[in-house]
This record gives sequence, structure tokens and C-alpha cells, in this order.
Amino acid sequence: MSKIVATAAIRGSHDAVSRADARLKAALEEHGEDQQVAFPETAFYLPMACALLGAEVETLGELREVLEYAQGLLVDEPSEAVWLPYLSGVLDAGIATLLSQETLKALDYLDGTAPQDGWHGFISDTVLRTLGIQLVDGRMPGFAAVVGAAPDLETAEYIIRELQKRSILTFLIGNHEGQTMRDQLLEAGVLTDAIVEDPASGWDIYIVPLGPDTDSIIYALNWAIRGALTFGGVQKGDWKGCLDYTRAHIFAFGLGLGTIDDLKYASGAGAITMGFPVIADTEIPEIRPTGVCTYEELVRELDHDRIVQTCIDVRGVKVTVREVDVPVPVAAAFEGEVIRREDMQVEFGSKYSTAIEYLRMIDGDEIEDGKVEVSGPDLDTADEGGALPLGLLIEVAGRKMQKDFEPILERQTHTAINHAMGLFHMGQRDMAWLRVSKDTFKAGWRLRHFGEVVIAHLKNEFGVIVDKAQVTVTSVDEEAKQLQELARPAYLERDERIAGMTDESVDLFYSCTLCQSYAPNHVCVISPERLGLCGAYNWLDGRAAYEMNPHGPNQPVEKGRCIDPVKGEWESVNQFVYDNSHRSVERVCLYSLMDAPMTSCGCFECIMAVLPEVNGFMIVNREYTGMTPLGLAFSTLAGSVGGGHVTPGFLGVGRRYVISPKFISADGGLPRLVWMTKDLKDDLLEGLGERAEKLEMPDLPGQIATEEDATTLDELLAFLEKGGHPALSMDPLF
Amino acid sequence: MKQIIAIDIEKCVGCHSCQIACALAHSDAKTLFEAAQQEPPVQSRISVLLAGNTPVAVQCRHCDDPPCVEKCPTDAMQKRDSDGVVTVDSELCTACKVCIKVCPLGEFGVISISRDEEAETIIKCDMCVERIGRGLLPACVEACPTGALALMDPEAAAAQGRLVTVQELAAALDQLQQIPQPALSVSGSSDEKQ
Amino acid sequence: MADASDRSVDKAAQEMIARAQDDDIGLAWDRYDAMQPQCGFGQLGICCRICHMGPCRIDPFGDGPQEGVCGATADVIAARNLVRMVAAGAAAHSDHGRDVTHALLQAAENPEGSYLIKDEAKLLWLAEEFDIPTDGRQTNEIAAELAHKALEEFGRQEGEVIPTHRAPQPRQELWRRHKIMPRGIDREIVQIMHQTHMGVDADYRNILMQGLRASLADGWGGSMLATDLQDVLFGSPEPIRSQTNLGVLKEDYVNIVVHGHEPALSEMLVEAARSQKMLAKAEQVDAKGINLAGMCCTGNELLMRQGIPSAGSFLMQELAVLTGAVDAMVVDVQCIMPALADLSPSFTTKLVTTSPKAKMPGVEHIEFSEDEAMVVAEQIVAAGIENFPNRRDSRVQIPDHVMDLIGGFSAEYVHTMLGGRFRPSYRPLNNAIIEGRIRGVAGVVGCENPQIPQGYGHVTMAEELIKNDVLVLVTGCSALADARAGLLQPDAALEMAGPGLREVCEAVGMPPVLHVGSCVDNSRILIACCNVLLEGGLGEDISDLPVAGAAPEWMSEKAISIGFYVVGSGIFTVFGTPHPVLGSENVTRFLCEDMEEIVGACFAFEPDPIKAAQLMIDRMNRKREALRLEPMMYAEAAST
Repeated sequence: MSKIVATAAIRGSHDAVSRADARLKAALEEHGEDQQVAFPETAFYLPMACALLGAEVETLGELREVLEYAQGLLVDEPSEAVWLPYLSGVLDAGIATLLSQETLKALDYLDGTAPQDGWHGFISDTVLRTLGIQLVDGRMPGFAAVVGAAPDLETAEYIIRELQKRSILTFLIGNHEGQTMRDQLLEAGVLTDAIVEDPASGWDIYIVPLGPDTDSIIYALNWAIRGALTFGGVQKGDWKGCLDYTRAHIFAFGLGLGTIDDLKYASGAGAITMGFPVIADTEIPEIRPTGVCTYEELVRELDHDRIVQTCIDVRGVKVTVREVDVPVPVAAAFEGEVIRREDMQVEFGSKYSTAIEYLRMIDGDEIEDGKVEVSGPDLDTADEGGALPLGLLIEVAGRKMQKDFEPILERQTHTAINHAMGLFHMGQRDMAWLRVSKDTFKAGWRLRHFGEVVIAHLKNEFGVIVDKAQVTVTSVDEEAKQLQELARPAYLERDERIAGMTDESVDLFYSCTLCQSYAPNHVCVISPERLGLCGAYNWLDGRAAYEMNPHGPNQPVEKGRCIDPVKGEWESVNQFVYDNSHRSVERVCLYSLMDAPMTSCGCFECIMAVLPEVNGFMIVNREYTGMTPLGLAFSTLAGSVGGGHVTPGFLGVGRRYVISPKFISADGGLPRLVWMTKDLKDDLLEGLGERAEKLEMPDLPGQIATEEDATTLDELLAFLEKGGHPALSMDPLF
Repeated sequence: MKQIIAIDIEKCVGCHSCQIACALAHSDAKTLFEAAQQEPPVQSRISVLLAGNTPVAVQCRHCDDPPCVEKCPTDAMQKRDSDGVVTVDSELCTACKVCIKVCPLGEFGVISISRDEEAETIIKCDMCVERIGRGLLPACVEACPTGALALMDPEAAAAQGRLVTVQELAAALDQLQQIPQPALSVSGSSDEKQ
Repeated sequence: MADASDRSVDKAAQEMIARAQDDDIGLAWDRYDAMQPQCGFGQLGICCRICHMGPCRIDPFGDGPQEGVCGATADVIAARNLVRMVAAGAAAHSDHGRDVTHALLQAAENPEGSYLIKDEAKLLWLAEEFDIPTDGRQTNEIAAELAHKALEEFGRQEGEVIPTHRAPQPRQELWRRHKIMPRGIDREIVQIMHQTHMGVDADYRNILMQGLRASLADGWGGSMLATDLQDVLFGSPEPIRSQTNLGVLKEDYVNIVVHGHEPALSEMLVEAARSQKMLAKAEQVDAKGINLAGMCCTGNELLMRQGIPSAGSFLMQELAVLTGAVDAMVVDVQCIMPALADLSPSFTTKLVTTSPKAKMPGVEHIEFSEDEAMVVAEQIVAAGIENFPNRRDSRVQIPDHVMDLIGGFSAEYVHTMLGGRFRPSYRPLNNAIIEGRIRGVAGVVGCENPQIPQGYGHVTMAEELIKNDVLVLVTGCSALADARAGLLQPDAALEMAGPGLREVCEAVGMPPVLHVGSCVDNSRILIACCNVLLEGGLGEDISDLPVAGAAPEWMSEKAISIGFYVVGSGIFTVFGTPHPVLGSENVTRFLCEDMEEIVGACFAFEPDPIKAAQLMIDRMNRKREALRLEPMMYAEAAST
């Protein structure tokens, strides 16, 4: 019964708190109150304490206050008989445990004993940004915190494959009697030594070993809680908002393998308080009534064949497992695999052979749906480590299919092939490069299977527009080259169409209200020359998304009468924004930062901000953790820009908007940009150069400062003056 | 052994408890709340009359020589030898009302026609023989909060001065009802039974 | 002589009843027997004593008069009698509320006085409800304004009693539509007295509707304020361990039993009894200490907030005296048997009356006043200590029966109980109902009545309900009866609860029967219903919820008022013995059928506690169907 769990968890929490207390006392004695303490690369201090308590812990003295709070949460173990209700005490004990574990890990970082060798340790904000958004928008169905170790290697591998198949990110934490899951997976060959050398490489394969002790679970949980602050727009200290967010949006669960000791119960109680259920493979008492979590809180599943499915059911993770007739699992978790030369059976493309993929729409009558036609010698004819030519002709038809969708669907080849385990795909069109691993080859992968995964992917993901699809695969060089000839005019036409597409050339824009779940009044308007602020959607994507799901978050927006072509204001766009922002935003100017700029949700790739002192704007991307000339770091800025509000002078934007001809054209355009991060500048260098040429300001890219040139306004002004930046002589912004 | 229900007129306060108890004892349900809902309504076999300012509860006296038994055209009414109770055989009774006419107390409601129209019978006090058989007192006696009603031997009743012959009682009631009541004389006549 | 087990299901009570029989001492049960058979007219509610043309009685069987002297029919007479009971009950609760308000005012105006404000958060919450500014103001200032505003609610003439606005919107609109939204607490009681005066209202429906309005002024006004302001003054209850039954009396201690309904004095008695000064005094008379024990709802108030043990419920007040170990019994108001006056001297119990509203001839009266609360409390405790040496040890017989219990559940605390500091929520409860672990929630409340073996109705019903996965909330004497039977222990869930309820109880660590307070605290059940609705997923109005109420052993007028406001709030309610209205078919039908159309709930009268529980379960099942909830999760297991 649950009382046993309650007793264990409460006992565990006392232990965690007293360990943290002893460590902290020693640290205080050694370093003093003012000793700095921090996790690397985060703007959220000690994230759990920051989210739940609003504490901005920077010193040991401040850390003590957190721990004192945790001590205040401790309750006595339930009595033998006539016990008082214990659930509340258990949940509080869980939080006390998490705060203590965070304290312990922060002290480890202070001592230099964390991260442990071969283990990932703390998860940075950058990882949070790149993977976290997938986690909250549903592309990644959830994450598993696997605590302990499997009873044997086969089970370890089986469980991890089951998780990978479903694209579930897996953290490996703790041990069972000294045995860790990471070592089991190494021994089983699922992981290679690379994971020990560089634990961060685990992100690519969705398996990240966090730490060999139970306390390391805090890394996963204080990563999850940051989701609420970053993507949820929840204020730090709003514990209710944070915990409601994690329960509603982050589909995580704990999977306890092996003995669940007091500390694991206590940590589990913390996870449960966050809305993450715990599933164990041992005879533990269950807590099935729901309400703290969305579904059951604590469940046992002794059958390892079923345990992953049980986890998914209990957490309510939405997973679609693709059933494809290929010999290896297919899932997003395998997308990041790199096949090294020594592991490679055969490759296609790059400098080794011709490899081309081309997708076109044809009349439905000419398609035999699902057909894969193969010509030429198959993989088993090639030398081990050798190369073969490859031509993939993908032909699709559908009542809603349009010529414009061809490139979007063609790009899906990359995703489709990469999702298969042991396959690698890079590049596109006739510049593709593919590798098939030895294991996958041994499992039976042949040419036909390229066609199978592509067809399956198109029909699963784009079923609304793709009614029928067939693929012709060839490994005959001549045939591949013929295909190239066939495709080249189409490639050219596409380039011209996209490049030539301007906001004036279309009558419809597309909206994106995907983020209204956490920024209720936010409406993104996506035009051909202004991509979504998250960087993930451009106009064509919006259009395709609308075609695929006419009731989804991407809707066509009529432009209507143009009110101001310079500022980018249209009558019908205003009406749409007004109606869809719950009547809170009356007008929007697409090209302005100063007059009725668009709302910002929370996913923006970059933030732009006005710098009145230098008559220009700066732009900072999310990954940048340093200081900006405005005197504020990205995370601080994000707090005031996000949430679906309109803030003139501040705006969330997508990276590539910077090189658009419509880049804040109402406010003077690119010449107004005075400061950007080095990372962003490098990324956009080519485009910046082209835009500068067009503007007849070839020196402009060099005149824009980065953090290497200036991090304060004084330094910035000096740099701009020295370089003769045009913004200084433009019309005053105010 | 013949016993009678004797009344002490001094003690009767006119609370009607005997009537409720009587009706209840002769109901199907035997509980007040259910009996109150019974259809056709349950009937009491005892009347509480006002003689002048004096309330008095009366029921069948189970006369030694009952005129109702004598005059009953269908022989439905009999006086039992065993306990002297005057009984009605509802199978034989045709509800002809002869008994009511010949009884000295007939007009005081000690005999009435059953409300159950299908039964076509008269109903009257049966001395709660069923209760007495179970060792209980007649319902009216048990219910009387002041002890005005009592089950006793005629001799004991006589000794207590409770024994009144039927004729005497009828005459007394009759006479009392003819006397204008000082306290309640506003409406003049008081022919109606109370 | 009746067997003691026919009089109470409780062993300690049986022991004392037997003792009384041996000593030839008459108790409530004996007096009840002596009263048999009881007046049928009274029981059926068709005796009218309102004017002096009467008394008039309607012949329930149709031979005699069918109208009173004025022409009032059984309908009018029964309805008038019943709503006058509502008026009396509402008056009792609300006057209690008024006294608490005075105590709050006392606390606010006299920070050096006996009372403190213990629950500041609740004070601020109430201040917001009463539109009292709080920014930058002293607690005392806010409390004083709240007390004044609360007092205005009693005397309010127009508008709406403020806490009624806690009810769900559709319920408030229903009350307005039917013109039963209470305008002022006292006003509605006064209107009942006027409306039922000779020759005023002759429409039984109109009379009963005013009964509803006055009862709502009680449940959502007087009672609710009493509860809330007591929480502000004495602290909101949180789960707490305690004990009950006569065995809580201690042989070597000065035993002081506090009996009645109001905590204002008894809270002070707790302090006094714990004070060094009094303990020293007890030592002087060779007592090991001072043992304060509760009785009835004063006991419940102390149990809920202080964990003070309860000696017993209503029918045990005489039995406590019979132990010969009670050195002082301090009574305030309500449910105090006048019989105590004669009984207590022969067992060396010093009976002390304290309320100017409740005195007894020949009994010492130490009058309580809020501004001298501590002084009075010490005086009373001292009286108990001084009486200790008079105890005749040969007469002391304390039944060796004590039961542990958990009390102290409030509507607010449920949030914390189900989620702790960080996830306070009703969601787990709502989910448990939605998913079919818990069938519904029942409030089983009310008195004790010698008509029913003491505790039989309460305990049998509670057991039947929890067996059928119904979470049971109890107050007053019902809570104490269940407590004596061990149902307020979390272990009870394991033994007796249905599988779904059991799972929830185990997860939370709570008993399947939750003690939510004294009889004035039934308002907590209303708030719990509101909270469930706010949490969402179970309908829009209280009448949508799978809930039911019951008073299996009721006897007091307060129970009628409670019944009325509970039904008026949309909760189907079963009374054990019927209301005294069965002499009127129309009034009976109105209560048991027509009210369903008007307020979405009605009464049922069912003396058999198992059948009554089944009626409640049927009701919950129908509500579950209407809400399209899942079938009960363990339906098969439960039916075997």
C-alpha cells in the first residue's frame, strides 16, 4: 500500500536534506557565504529553486536559504496506526528532495566533481532550446528518466530500443547495486565508447547518460522545469504555473529498474509532484488514483516486454509508431546517428558516386500506390566500405497536391531515410550523400527499403496531400544521370520561384497560432519575406501545413487593402490578428519594430531591441549567454518580450529574417543593425554580404559590431564611430 | 375471562391518542407513517366525544345482551362465549346498518361502515383480541397518556366506579349533548358530534 | 426493561445504561419509553397550536375534522409547523454565528484580550469577499471591519446575503428566479414567524418556499459565517489525532467536560486547563492534572482544532455524569438536556451554565462574556478542581472504551491534502469520481434520537456507503458515532471501504469517513461541493454532482434547517424518521417530489439506514449517468 511508499519517500527526503545540509555546511566553512555557486551555461541560476521559489541563487549564502526552505518542507513518517494523511507530506518531501539534490549537484560543480567522468551532468540552456521545443511542441513525444539498471543486457537493449523506436529521449541515471544502464548499453553494443568520451554525443541518438547516482535525476528535472520558464512564459517563483506546465506539456516519466530504495522513492515523489509518473519493474506498491499526475502516479510493470508501453500509457505520451516494412526500427531517435567510415557497409553520393533524389507530382493514374521499383545491382554486390550510385525518383499524386509542395516533400527524403536505424543522409537534390551501416546491412537493408521508408513517411506525415506515391530506385549510374537531367530544370524553376517570391507577389499570408497554448494572444503572421519568429516555418511551410490540416494553427490570412506598404500594414491582416488575439491586438506592421510590431510568443530564435543611444538595433540569439550592449542577457530580455505581448522597440524574430529585403524596412532596414552576436553573424555571413551588395553598402557587415567588439554601449558607440556605421547618420528613431 | 375497557371520565383530556392508536392497530402496516398513507384510509373504532365540557372516549361496550346481535338479519354479529367479545363476521355482514340503529351508542360512532367499499361490512371494536392474544393491551388502552382507559375485570371497574352500563352512558351522553354548553354556546345548537 | 443494546450500539454507552438501570436512574431512553405511544397528531404534524382558537387537530384518518377552527387544512398546518422548525434551527445556528462575530470584534478591538486572530490568510480571504481594503492595514483593523460587516449580514434588510455568492452561478440564479435568495439572516427568520402567524399565509407551497429561503440564510449565511469566523479566530482545522468515548475520562485527573455548541468559551478553557496556574491548583487537590473532554459539538469544535478528546455525543451527556468521574460539566447552548440538573448532584458533578440564553434552576451560573473570557474560563476550571475532592471514588466507573480517530478536515484543507504545498487541488478527488473509483460523496450528519439505537443509523449507513465506494463526510453527533465505531481511522478504509475508495484512501492516507466539524460546520460540505465544481468536469451546479446528504438519527430543529438548506442547495437528502408532515399528503409530496422540479433535489424519508444508503447510491448513480461518467471502476468486484 501507499503508506509504505510514503514512509520510504519521507525517509529518503530526510536523508537527502541532511546530506545536502552537511555538504553545504562544509562548503560554507571552506569558502564562506559569498562563494559563487552556479551550473554552467544557464540563465536560470539553480533552475529548480529558481522556478519554484523564485530564488536567484548565486552564492553559498543564498543556497543556504533554499536548503532551509527544503528543511521546512520535511514531515514525519506516517505513524504505524492512526496515521495522518500523508500524500501531501510525500509530495512536499519530493520537492525537498529535488531542492537538496540540486544543492548537492551545485556543490559538486563548485568542487569540480561534477559532471562525473563519462557522464553528461547538467543540461545547458542551449540544449534546452534545441531539444526542449521539440519536447513541448510534440515532435519529440517525451522523455524517460531511466533510474537504475536492467536485470540483464538483453533487457537493457530491448527497453532502450523500444524507447528509441518511439523517439523518446532517454536519460540514464543512477544504478542498481552498482550496475549502471549506461555500462549495460555499452556492453550490449548499443552505445559506443564515444558516449564515454563525449556524453553530449548522446543527444543525437536520444540516449544521454546524466550521472551514475540517483541524485543526478535533478539534471533531467531541472531541465524539464526550465521548459515552463522558457516555453511556457511562466514567471520564476510561480510554482503553480511551473508545475502545471510540466504536467500539461512535458511528457516525461520515470522508469525505475531494479530496487527502489528510499532515495529513489523520494526523488520519484519529486517527479510525481512535477506531474511525471514513475513506473518500476519490481514489486512496489502502486498509487493509481489520478490527479497529481494526469494519470496514475506510481505503477509497477514486472513484464519487461510491456514496460515501455506501460510507461507510455501511464504518462499519456502520444506516440505513433511507424510500421514500415524494413528490417530496422524507424524513429526520430535515430535521426542524429553518424555512421563512421569503419562502421559503414556502403555509401552513395558525395564525391564517391552519383546520388540524386527527385520528387515530382504526376497524374494519379500513372501511379501504382506503394510500388517500389528497383533497378541495378543491390547492396550485397558492393564491396564492404564501397560506393554505389543512387537515383531516387519519387512520384506522388493527390487531390490537394500542388506543384509548390514538391520541394517540401522532396526534403522529407532526408528525414525519412535518417529515421531508419543505421542510416545516414545528408545534402539534397543531386548533392545527396547516404551511408548504410554494417549492422543495418546485415539486418537485411537493401535498395528497395529506401523506397519503402520514403513512401511510408510521406503517407504518414503528409497523408492529407499525398494520396498515392511510388518510388523508383536505381543503382545504375547511367539511369541516375538521366534522372539528374530530368530534375535539373525543375530545380532551377523552384529556385526562381522561391527566390522571386515577395510579399507583394502573393495575396495570402499564413498565420501561426501554434504557441497560443502558452501565449494566448500571440498571432504570428508569416509572409514570403518574413518567416516565423521561431525560424521553423516559412510561408511555403505555412501553406503546406494549412493544406495538410485546414483546421490547424496555420491559417491563410487575406492581405486585403494595403494601409501602409512601407510599414507592412494591411486591413485584413489587422482584422485577422484582432480576431485571433482575443481582441487584444488591434493592428500589426510586419516590417516595423517601432510601430505596432508583431506579438512575440516565447520560441523566438532571436530578440531585437532598440538602442536609442546609437540610433540603431541590436539582435541577440537564444544560444548567446553573454551580456549585450543593452545591459541585459537574452534570458532577461526574453522574460519581458515573450508571452504574446506587443512591445514596441522589442521583437522576437527568426534568424533568417535578418537577410530578408523586408528586414525592419519600415525602420530603415539592415543599415539600422548595429550589433549582433558573432555566432549569428557567422551563420548569416553570406546572406549579409549579398544584402549589403544590393544596398550598395559593401562594408556594412564589417561595420556591425559583435560581442568581440563591444558589450557595452560606450564600447559600441566607439566601434560604430570608428567604422562609420550608417545608422549613426540616419534619421533619429525617436 | 371477560374483561372490559373501562374509562375514567375524570382523566380523559380529549387528546384523541386512542383513536390514532386504534386505527393504527387495525391498519395493514401497523406503523403510523405508513398507515397515514394507506388507501382507503384506516379507521378508528373508538370515538372521542364531548359531553358538555367533558371529553370522553367510547367504543363498543360488548353488552351482556347485545341488541345488535339480536337484531342482525344475517347473523353476522355474535357474542363469543369465551371472552364476551361481540364480533362481526364480515363475510356475512351486508352493512345494512341495523346494528347502528339498535345500539344505544350507535349514533356516537362506535359502529361504522367500512370505507373499503368492496368489503361491505361494518367495523367496530374487537377488544384487540389479536393484541391481547399476544399479551398486549388493547391499543387504545396502551395509548392513553393519562390512564383514563384501562382493561379490567367488571368487578374491579365497579370498585373503581368506572363501570357504567351502556344505557346509562348513552343517556348521559345524550343528556349532556342536549344541555347548552356555557363556554361554547355561541352557535346555539351542538347537534354535531365532536 | 429494555436491553442496553437496543438503546445504543456502543459498548461504553451500554455499560452506563446498564448501570443506570441497576441504580434505577431514569435516562433519556427511559423517559422516551414513558412517553409511548407518542402523540400521532404531533408526529404527523397536524396539530396546530399557533393561535388560541385551538389547539386544532386534523384527523389523519378522515373521520374527524379536516380543517382547524380558522379553516387551516392539514397542508397549511403541517407546512407552518415545519417552517417554524426551520426558523428555530436557523435562529440557533445564526445566533451562534452572531456570537462568534462578537468574539471576533472583541479580538480585533482588544489585542490585549483573550482572543487572537489565528488564521490571517482566511481573514484576508474573507476581507476580499466582503470588499474590505487590506493593503497597508493592520490585521486588527481589517478584522474589526470584517466583524462589523458580518454583523450587518444578520440585520441586512435588502440585497443578498454575501456568502451566498460562493454558490455556483446557476444555483444563485435559480435562487433568484424562485425568489428564495436570502436577503438577510434575521429577516428571513422573522418573516417565517410572520408568515405562519394565524391568518397570514394559507398556501403550503409559499410557506415552504420561505422555509427554504430562511434555511439558505442559515447554511450560506449564519452557519457559514460561524464556521469561517471561528476558523479566523481559532485556526482552520487540519488533520489531527484525537480520541473519543467515555474512556477518555481519567480517574486521577480533574475531568472537565465541555458540552454544547460554541467554541468561544471552551477554547479559553483549553488554555486555562493547560496553564501552569491551574495545573498547580490541581496538584494541590492531589489530581494528576486537568483533563478537558468534549461533549456534543463544543467537543467537536475542540477536537477539530485542538485534538481535545471527546467523551461523547448527545445521548451520552447523562452517561458521562454517570461515570461519577466528571468534576465539572460546563454547558453553553443547544442540545443540553435539562435532565442534567437533577442527575449531576448525585454523581458529584458540578454543572455550570455559562450562557445568558441557557440557564437551569438550581444550577450554578458563571456567565461568559467575550471581553472577560479568560477570567471566566479560569473561574470555571477552578470550580472543577475544587469539586475534585468531593468525588466519591466508590461511585467512579469509567467504561474502558476509547477509540482513536483522525479529525480536522476542512474544505480548504482538502486542497493541501490532495497535493501538498505545491499541488493544492481538488483534481484527485474529481478524477477519482470521474474515473469511477469514488462513486460520489455523502454528507451524513445530524443528531441522535432515542427512537433509534444510538449510533445504529449513523454507523450502519456510513459502512454501507463506504462499502459502495462513497466518500463520507460527517459532522456533529454523526461524526462521533462513526468515530466510536472506528470509522474515522485510516485503517478503516482497508477493512471496510470498496476497492475504488480504498485505493484513493490509501493513496492519500485518509480515512474513508472524514470528520468535517460540528453541526454548524455543515457549511463546509457546501463549500467542498463548490470547490469540486470549480475544479471542473462534474457539471455546473451542485445539483449535477453525484452527492447526497442524510440525517439518519435526527431530532433537533437545526436538523430540519440543515436539511432544507442542503436540499435547497441541490443535494438529495434522506432523513431517518420523517419530518412531522406526513399528515399532509401535499406537503409530503412537495418535500419528496415537487422540490426536485424547483431546486433540483428533494427529501426522502427512510428509517432503515441500509435502504437509505441505497437511495443515496441510486441517486449518485443517476447523477453519474447524467454526467456521462465512467462506470464504477471495480463494479464487478463490488457486486459480488
